[in-house]
Formats: sequence, structure tokens, C-alpha cells
Amino acid sequence: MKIKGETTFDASPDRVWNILMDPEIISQCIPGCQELKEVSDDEFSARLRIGIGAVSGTYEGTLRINDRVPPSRYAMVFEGSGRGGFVKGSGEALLRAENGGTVIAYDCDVEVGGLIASVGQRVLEGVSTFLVGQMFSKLQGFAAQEEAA
Amino acid sequence: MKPSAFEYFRPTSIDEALGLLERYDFEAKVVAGGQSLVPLMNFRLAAPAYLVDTNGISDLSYIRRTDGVIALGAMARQSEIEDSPVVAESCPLLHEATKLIGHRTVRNRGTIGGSIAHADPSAEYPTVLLALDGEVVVRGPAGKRVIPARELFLTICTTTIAPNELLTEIRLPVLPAGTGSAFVELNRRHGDWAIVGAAAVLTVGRDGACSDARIAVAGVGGTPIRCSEAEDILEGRGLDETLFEAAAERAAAAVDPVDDLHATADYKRAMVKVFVGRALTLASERCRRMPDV
Amino acid sequence: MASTNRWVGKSLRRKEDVQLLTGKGQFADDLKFARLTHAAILRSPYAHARVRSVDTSKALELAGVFGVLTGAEVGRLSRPFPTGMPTRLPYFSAAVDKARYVGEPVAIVVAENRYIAEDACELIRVDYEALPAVTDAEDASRDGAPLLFEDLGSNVVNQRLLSYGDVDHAFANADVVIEHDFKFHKYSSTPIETCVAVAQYDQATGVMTIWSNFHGPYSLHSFVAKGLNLPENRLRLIAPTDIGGSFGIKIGIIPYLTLVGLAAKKTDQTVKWVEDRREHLMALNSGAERTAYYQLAAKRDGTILGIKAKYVDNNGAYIRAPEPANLYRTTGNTTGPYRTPSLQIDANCVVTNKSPTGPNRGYGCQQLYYCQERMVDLLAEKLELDPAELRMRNLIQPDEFPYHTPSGGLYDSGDYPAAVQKALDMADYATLRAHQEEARRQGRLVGIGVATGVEPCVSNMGYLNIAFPPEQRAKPRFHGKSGAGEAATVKLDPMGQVTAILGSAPSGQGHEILVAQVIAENLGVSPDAVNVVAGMDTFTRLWTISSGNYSSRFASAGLSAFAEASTKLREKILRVAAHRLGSAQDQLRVVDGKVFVGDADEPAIDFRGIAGIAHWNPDALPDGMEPGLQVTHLFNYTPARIIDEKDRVNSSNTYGFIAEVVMLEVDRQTGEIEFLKFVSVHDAGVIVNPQRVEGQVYGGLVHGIGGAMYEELAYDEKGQFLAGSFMDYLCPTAMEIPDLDIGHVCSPSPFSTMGTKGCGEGSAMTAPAAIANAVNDALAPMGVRINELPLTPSRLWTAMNGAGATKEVVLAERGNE
Repeated sequence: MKIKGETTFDASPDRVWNILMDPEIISQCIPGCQELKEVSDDEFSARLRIGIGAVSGTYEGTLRINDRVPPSRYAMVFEGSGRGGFVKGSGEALLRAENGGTVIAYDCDVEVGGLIASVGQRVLEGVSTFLVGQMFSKLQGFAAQEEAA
Repeated sequence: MKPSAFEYFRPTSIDEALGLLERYDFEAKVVAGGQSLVPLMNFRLAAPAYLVDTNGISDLSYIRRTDGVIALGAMARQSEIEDSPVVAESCPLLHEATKLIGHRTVRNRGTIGGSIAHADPSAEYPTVLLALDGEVVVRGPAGKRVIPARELFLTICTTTIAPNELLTEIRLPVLPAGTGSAFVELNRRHGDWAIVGAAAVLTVGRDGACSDARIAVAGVGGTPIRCSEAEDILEGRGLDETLFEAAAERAAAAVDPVDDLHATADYKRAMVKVFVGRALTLASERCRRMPDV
Repeated sequence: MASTNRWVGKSLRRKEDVQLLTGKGQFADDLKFARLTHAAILRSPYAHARVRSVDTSKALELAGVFGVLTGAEVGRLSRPFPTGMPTRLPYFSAAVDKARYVGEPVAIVVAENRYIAEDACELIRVDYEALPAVTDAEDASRDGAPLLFEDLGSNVVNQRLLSYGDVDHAFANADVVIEHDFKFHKYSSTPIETCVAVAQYDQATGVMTIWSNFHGPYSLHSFVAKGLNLPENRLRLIAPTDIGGSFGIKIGIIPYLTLVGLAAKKTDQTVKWVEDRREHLMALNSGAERTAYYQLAAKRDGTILGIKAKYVDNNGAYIRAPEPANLYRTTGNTTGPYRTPSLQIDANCVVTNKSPTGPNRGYGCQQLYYCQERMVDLLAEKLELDPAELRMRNLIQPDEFPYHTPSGGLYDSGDYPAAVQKALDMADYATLRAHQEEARRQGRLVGIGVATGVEPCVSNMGYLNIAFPPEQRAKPRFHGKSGAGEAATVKLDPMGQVTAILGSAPSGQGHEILVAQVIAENLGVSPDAVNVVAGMDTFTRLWTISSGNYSSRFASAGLSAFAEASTKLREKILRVAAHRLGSAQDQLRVVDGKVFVGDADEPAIDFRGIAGIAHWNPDALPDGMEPGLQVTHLFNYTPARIIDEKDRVNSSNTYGFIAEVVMLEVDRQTGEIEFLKFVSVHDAGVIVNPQRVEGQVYGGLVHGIGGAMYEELAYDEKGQFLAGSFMDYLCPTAMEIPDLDIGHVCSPSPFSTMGTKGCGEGSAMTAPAAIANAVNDALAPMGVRINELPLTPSRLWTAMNGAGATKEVVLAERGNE
């Protein structure tokens, strides 16, 4: 599954970059994130509790950030697993200044495996889109606060 | 395919149910007809620790018409709604949509409250509720509150009903004379989830112009979607096929579906146009069949 | 012998109707056992992964858990299943070191109940090292593709180039050569009862007893014995009377009988496992996906001269017996009903990270006829001939039977032109074409599809040997095969009642009534008086390695065995009676279990009296006659021979025929298909019970419609399985099925005792071809062709709207233009 899109922030690329690299902020923006621990400079371990309607589950996994080029691009590799199966993926985010703000173009290749993949096809892509959207909208909230501050 | 262990409660009153929901909050799930939740539990995609079964609450199965509103108890079965003369007469859109839900055996168990609270974006009832600007009544620790359809659905299977609230009633307006409605859908097989569903409601005034147009589509987003721009094209105008096509095109342009196993996003968007068009044509034929006001 | 057909040919109701229709069927899940425990299987969520370790400690701590058996242990306790081809792949009932498809068993838990067993599965920690997966057979065939079995160095695990007749000459002398490629997708069957296994091991005798709903026993028994590392005579397989359908795919139960058996032995418990629907869709057999490249050479008048085809079969992660026979089961009937003199098949069996394949109703024929019948239509289009007329020109003629096909098939009997003509007449073909023309003028997309197929029945096990090249088959240690037998027992019990005992387990087709009809006919009793014993017990029944309920074999092989057995029994009954009555045997008549001498109105003796002699008073028997009245007959087909040195094999023993005419309309806006006409004509030889045949025709056709339009075991490119429930794996229901016009012609088989053939697979083989032809005909005015299945609305719409239109057919012209 491809998760691909663009989202706009009312903040400069530098500020957006700092937000994206702040584990504290990220942990508040990833939907259902219960814990985000910095294992090393580039690697985080996370525990998420994701619930969509009646379907919910706890997932544990890791996120690795590579190839950082502040404030314009970074790549990421993530994987996690839980009762519903596993999620694995990789992708990159490109930041560019536009009209006084920042556009993030993201492109991830995600593999969802196991139970959810085999019985949740009808909603899988919609749910992913929703979760990504939810995360960005929270991040945008942080960006707006910072900008105002 | 066996569910995880859970504790089961069968309250006999709304208050008792609310007490349980208050106590167990996120860990509890309400089960009505069980047509969606039970398979999810058997797959272990859902594993609520506490199950609150509302089938023991006796006063939630009514279908009543009062003051221009049809009120349905949350536990009214889909088959009861299908068979109800009150619904057939006062809310033909609900009647028509009901017949498209699964199969009769599913409808014998499935309830209107369960379907709406489950909020599957491909399901018929949430789309009907949204198309008719209906509202739902929920009861919670703070008492009763009424949620309009437009404020109910957040995303896939997610509503603004809190975990400690219980959906008790669905209210749909009885539409004025000169109104025609239609619910049409595309599916792979009879009774399957809609790839695309479309509800249209048109009211034509004495002057022959459209005084009210409502269009909602299912299956092409996280929630059912109201097609306001398409409605704007129709309102105040004399209805004809060219206008329907323009409205359908506008509806299709406004949705952003995703690929799935059964249909591509492009196909779904194209089908929004086809099925909104078909729903409008059918609805307008039906309002012309109504006697003059 | 009985001269009037009192019972054969009558639509008597199934003996099991009342039980099944009142919900009293006895399925495998209904069997009751003392101190039963329950198993759940932990399966790989990865399409391809090394299993680094499996930690079962938390699962074992859970109250109610009796034990866990891991794949690594399976590797130690078990022997790999045999593979019927030169290349040996290590295939065990669970992933020993690597998981190669999503759903492959990794461990099995035995617990007090299924709930606890599933809880325990969640507590097992498996450390997987994910590996790159490959799902497409052609991708898997390329250099550098991820290898499923590193030691083999390739994912192409069986390959044969089969040539029959002078194909080069045919292509060199053709007026026209057409080329096209096709994709046939992966789908399966959905028996109402999924697999069930209950295993019990007797430490004292070393006997493993497994109750399950298999449709064998055939070679399944020896495979399971091998997996369990047991001598065959220590493995007892028992099937109940009702097994809830099979459709061939239940042969995929082999690894589960093994796995559950091993778990029972390890835990010393009676262990039950019930496959849930997700497991069934994800990991049991499916028909093989095939990518095929075809070339067809013909004369300008439409005479087909030769076919060259390359089959690339996607057989999933392991080669489950009888695979790779999807490539070879059709050998004798590869040219279908046409007089095609030459043929070349480049057959390729490829392993990928999808679930393993196996026989699925029609085994190999749906893939074959889909491609071939599309080619015939493309030829008709090229030559501007009517597709029905083109077929007529190429059909084998009635006076050519028995007919030898170039690939070794011996078609026993048939009148193909009569059957096709009947289908055209029933459809009123000329009128359909006129209606189509009218509809096209109105801009409607109406298409007509014709398809034919030869229905191979009663497999000759000899076709399995094609997987081995001739030089290997010539070695002295090579064992050729030609089994096609079936056993039947008929007896008169001590009080003169008739009992018939099946040598294979029926799966709901109504074998019981057919047997009763045949015995009633031969013995002169009423079918109601015949007790037919279904189910199976390999310890007490007589059976042979080919015994089983597959390849449409019962009506011909099974009933032949019963016809022979009951004829022998009748002979003995009459000998006893003649001796007793002191009259000549040819003076005796049997009516309703009573024996009459000459024209006498009063019976001279009845079956009870005869049984009284044979069982109670053998002293009164003719000298030298064995006491008792029991006959067991093992019927074998003489045309079943081993494969010859030129790869020719008569792969089946009787050959039926199917002709179909379909008219449908494609909704230009939505891509939905609406059937306007569906005619299906079958030649199943002599029909014993028309209602039973009709049931089979309907079932096969619905399955064919399912394959053509609905059913697909879909995967993503990473090998994730996407159709794990009936929400996404769509079987057609009664609501999707059009009115069917069914017709019959009858060409008795000279090789079966009563002239019967089979009909169990039927339109499952031809309906996808007929529907694909009709859809392509419908879309022809738009210049759109579709070479893939299933024909979903989304796929048709995409093709009609440009993006999905498939590769144009390449038409090469040769000769004097």
C-alpha cells in the first residue's frame, strides 16, 4: 500500500523540521501513541494503541530516521506488530518552502500483514489515510502554536 | 475463530446499561444485533473486555410517527423497519435502503441503532440519516443529548458518541408532499457492502422548481458524504436530465475514494456520477408521481 | 439379466435428503469423543520469512494448555511429503525453518478448548526474519528472484516440453497464425464444512486413528502415513457419512491430518482441529494461477492445424500432491473436441510465496479451455467466421470414435456436432445473433459466447508420470502408474436384506441413491430395500490406491464396480436358488426380492430363503460353493495404461462433452454483466439419475460463473493475502445465477459397465471460457479485449475506459495472400 500525499504547514521549513524531529511532539501527534522512546540518535521504539471503532489493538515497534538533510528531507523505516498482524514500511518526506509556509510531500510504501490485511481490505486504505491525516493535523496545530509563540 | 474472553452483561434498562458503560468506559462495547461486532470479535480484531448487550432493554424497539418526525428506537430491527407501513409511507427512502442491507436473515438481527453507531461508511443507514438531515438521541451520564447527522460521523466506524453514551433513538423528518427519494447502490453481489451507494431526495414546489435537494453518497470516504455543491446546482431550478448530469458530475468531483480489492478509486468516482445520476432521475420521477400539494 | 430399466434413469431422491434438509446431517464436526482436546494453529503473517526461534513458554504457562508442537519439532518427528516430480522439495506439515506463504502453520497448540488454544497462540513469540517475497510466477522464474528453496537454485521446479504430431510442419504450412496471452487467476472452492481432523494415537498398538472429512482415501492415506512416520497399516482414516463437500480441494487436508496426528501423539491426547473459514481461504488448496502464451495455426477455411502453448503455473509455496499435475491432468484431452493434429506444450511449474495449489473442480481444464476457447474465438474473428460455425468445422465427427488424440487420449464415445447443434438450437442461436445486431444498433453492449469442452472423467494415475522426462521413466527403479480402480461391496445379510458398502467417501452428490438404483436394477429389489453404507474406514473397507471421490469418477468407476459386484451376487443368488429348486438357472426370474420359476405367478423362494441357505445352512449349497452371500469387486479401466516413451498418456478413462451458449449484456456505464441466456448441453453418457446429474450441472456452472466473475484469492505484491473472509472472497449465491437451460445428449461409454461417464466438474471447466467469449464479443464494437479473470465491473469499466485494455492480439499471416 502506498501512503502518499502533501500537506501544508503555516510555518517555516526550519520550524517544521524541528517539530518533526522532536520526539516529545511526535509522541503527542502519532495517533494512539502511548510511549515513544529514543533508543539512539536515529532510532525510536514506540507503543501505540490504535482504535478504529470496535477494532483496537496495541502495537509495538521501531522507527528509524535516516538520511537527514535539515530542513529539506529525511527518510524513515518503521515496523511494528500486534494482535492484528504487523506493519512495515519505509518512505521519505520532502519539505519545501512555499507561500511563506512549508509543504511536506510524503511517500511511504507500507506493508500491512496478517489478520488485518486478510480481512480488513475494505477499510484498510481509508483507515491509513485517516490516521496519517490525524497526525498531520495535530502537527499543524503544534506548528501554529509555535509560530504564534 | 473464537473471540477472546469477555464479561457479558444483559441490562434490562437504559440506566443499567449506562451504569455499565460508565464503569467500564473504553473497555466496554455495546452489542445490539451483533452483525458487525460479533464477526470482528471472532476474528479477534475487536476484543472488548466487557460486552453490554442491549437486547434485554424492552422499550427501544419502537417505530413512531409524531409531529412530522419518524422516531425509531435504536433496537428496531431492520426487518421490522422493512415491514413497517409507517416507514413505507412516511419515509420511503429508509424503506428502500433497508431492503439493500445484507440479506433478510441479517436484517432479522441487525438494528438501526447498531448500524448507525457502527458507522460503516459503506452502510445504508448512516447515508440515509445524513441525506435526510436526521438526528440521533443519545443518553449519557449527563442525560440526554441530540446529535444532528452532520455532527455524528467522524471517520470509518467512528462517531461523536462517547464510550459512556448509549444511542437510544433515531429521528428522521417526514418530508413534505411533492418529495421523491431514491436509494441506489452498486455491489458485486446482492447484499454485499456497497461499492458506491447514493441517496437522493428532491422536493418540487408548485412552480415546478426544485425547492429542496439532498444527496448523500456511501462507500467513497471515511463517512457517508453529503454532496452540497451538487445540491446547490439543483435547488431553485426546473429539474431535467442535463441538470442531473451536472449535479452528478459535481458530486463525483467532490469525493476522494481509495482503491480496494473490488474497485479502483477511479471506478468508484465514476460510479458516484452514475449512481447519483440514477438516484436523481428516480427521485424526480417519484416526486412527479406525488399528487399536487 | 434384468431387461426392463425399472430403476436406472429415474430421478429418485437422494437417500440423505431428509437428514440433510432437516439439519440432522452427521458431519465431521458432529462426531463426539470422550476427553476431547482442541487445537489451534499459529500461522505465519509473512509471505516469506526465516523462523529464527519460536518461544512457547508463555503459551505453555496458560491454564488449560496441554502442549505446543512447533515447526522445528515437526521437522524432527516427520518425514517430508513425497513430491511427484524429479525435483525434491522439503514439504512438511509446518514451517520447519522458513515460512513460505502467509498462513503457513508455524506451531499448533493443544488445549482444553479452542478458545484457550487461540489465546495460547497469541502468547507464542515467533522471531521472524522477513525475506523478500515473490508472488508472480514469471517474476519468480527470472534470475535474481528471491528463492523459496535456496538449494534448488531456481523457483521453476518442474519443466517439460511436450510435443505431439508435427507442430513445426503445421505452423510452416498455415494460412494464418494467431498469438495471444492469457492470465487465469487463483480461486478455490468453498465446501460448506471446512476441514476437520480428530486424531488419537494408541501407544500400545502404534495405531493412529484420524477421523476427518476427506474424500479419499486414495494416495492421501500413504502421504499422511509418510508425514506421520508410520507404517501404512498403522494409520486408520475414518470419514463420517456427510463431509460437507470437497470439490477436490480437500486433498489439501493431508498436512493437517499429519500435523494434528503429530500433536495428538506428542500430547497423548485426542485432539480435534476445525479449520476456520479464514484458514480455509488462506491456506488450503486453490486451483493454480496460470499465465499462458498461445499460438494457433489454421487454414483459411478455419481448419485448426496446430497449437503451441506455454503454461506458467503458479503453484504457490510448495508442491502438494497431486501437483504439478495441473499441468498434466489434461494431457489426453489437451486438444479438446477438435481434430487438432499437432500440439506443443511448454509446461512450467513455479513456486511462489502464495498458498499451495491443488485440484479444484475441473483440475487443469478451466485453465486449458479458457485459453483455448478464447483462441478459437480470436481465430473466428480473424477469419471473419461465425465462432459456432468455426467450431463445427473442427469437431471430431461421431464416426471417428473411439478417437485417439495426438497426446495419447482415447476418447471413448461422443457426438460433438449433435451436442453443439443442440445447444445452438436451444439458444436459438440465429435469433440471438439478430437480437445482438439490433442491440448493437441501439448502442448496447450485448455479446454471445460459445464454448465447448471435453470432460475427462476417472483419472488414470499415469498422467502423474509426465512430470518425469522419458529418460528418467526408462530407469529400472522408476515405477509407472496406471491406477483407475474403484471397489464395491454388495451383500445379502443372513436375513436376506441387501447392503452395499462404498469404497470411497461421497461428498454430497447422492452416490447412495445411484448405488441403490444400480443394485435394484441388477438384483431385482426396490432401491428402498438397499442399505447403502457411505463414509469410509480404511481399516475395514476394501479400497485401492485410486479409490476416492474425485475426477468425476463415481458414476462411471464406482457404479461400474457396483454393477459388476451386484451382477456377480445375482449370479450366486440364482445358483443357490436353482440348486434348491432343482431348476435351470435361466428359467429363474427375480422380482422384488422373490424368485419365480418360468411364468409361475407364485414365487418359489425369496432372498430370505436364499440367505437362509447361504448363511444358516451351507450344507444345502451346491458342492464347492463358499458360504455367505457377499461380493467385493474391484473395477479397473483397461484403457488406463502407463505413459509411453513419447509422453503420450490416456490421462482419463471416459470423456464427456459440454457445449455452452451464453448471451449477456455489459452495462456501458458500470461494467456490470447481466445474463440474457445461458444454455448448457452435457453428454455424460448413460444417466442413472437425471436429478443428480442436474444437480451436478448446476453446481459446476455456478462454480464456473464464480470463477469467471467473482471468486479470487487475491494477494498484494508483497504476498499478503487479501481475501480472508466471505466479505472479500465472493462466491456467487442463488441471487447471482441466471436461469439455466440444460440439455443432454447421450453417448454411452463402451468402457464403463453401464455406459456411464462423469459430470461432476462439468461447466466449472467451460463456463469461464463461455463467459469470457461473450464479454469480449460484447466489447468488440469498442475495440476492447480482456484476457484476465475475474470479469469484475471495475475491471470491465477500466478496460472500456482505456486504461486497462490488454495487449492487442498479434495476428500474423502466412501463405499466399
